[in-house]
Amino acid sequence: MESRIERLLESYWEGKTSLNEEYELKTYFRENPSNSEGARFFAAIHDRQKITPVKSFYHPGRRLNRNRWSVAAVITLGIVVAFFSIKDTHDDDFLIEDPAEAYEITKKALMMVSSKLNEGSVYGRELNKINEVQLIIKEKKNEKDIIK
Amino acid sequence: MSSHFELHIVPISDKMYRYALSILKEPETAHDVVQECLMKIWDKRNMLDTIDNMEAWVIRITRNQCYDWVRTNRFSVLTVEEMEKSDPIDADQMTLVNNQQDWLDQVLESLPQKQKEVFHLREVEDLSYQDIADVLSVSLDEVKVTLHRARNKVRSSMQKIEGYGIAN
Repeated sequence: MESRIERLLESYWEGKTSLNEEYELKTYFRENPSNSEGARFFAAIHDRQKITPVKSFYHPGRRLNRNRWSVAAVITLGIVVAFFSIKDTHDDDFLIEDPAEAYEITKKALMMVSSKLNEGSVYGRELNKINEVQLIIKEKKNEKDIIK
Repeated sequence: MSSHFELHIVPISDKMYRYALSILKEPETAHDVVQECLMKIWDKRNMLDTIDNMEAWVIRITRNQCYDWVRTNRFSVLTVEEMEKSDPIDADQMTLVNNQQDWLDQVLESLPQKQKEVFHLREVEDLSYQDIADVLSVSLDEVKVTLHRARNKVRSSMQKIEGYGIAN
């Protein structure tokens, strides 16, 4: 080993070297690998310097742009879904396009509802009669109680 | 302002990662912590041109973020206090190791936390004494003394391991 390197290495262990001198030592041992204490030490340091992240980092600014694109994509998707759902409504099998036919069907439906309502009103009238009879009986009973 | 980010921050993201890894030990966690740092720095991109020593500032942010992570996840890893007090392993207790990376890992594990960090910042990341002092918020003299002690311990551990015979 060169005497300068030996001296530098000793200064290094004593904590007296500058960054430039340490760079010189690292370069020397990288270019002259051996089994010496210094060579093994600096090789291990060099291995450590080569460690890189498990995956690359994303750029925070580009991430924001990506978010904007995501929002735009969601809005576009929403518009497309809305368009097709409106189109589906128009394509409905039960859709009646002839106004006269639609009127007839609606009329029939309303007639059916009203007939059911009429049936209900017949029962209603009978119930009213029962109530009236009940009131009369009650009044008669009251009159008897007063006479007694 | 974003050009400052590309010019000065992106190129040292690997340094940030290695430093975070040296503290946290888990590659995935170190990656996530550095990603958070990058987002924080991005939020401050308008003030990047006012920072004198960008590298030391960024490494300091990384350190703070790592210790924040350790504090909030204290049940899964050692607490900051435990890290600071970590009981140095004597080289005598070390097992024989088969490659130089494992060997250095074991030797570094035997150092107290501050020595470990000073050693990493100087030897692996080539930071100046002043930068290290700025990152760790300690005096220049303290950095020099700490580094000297760390190197002495590494050297003596190396010599002890060599005494046992390291397979290389």
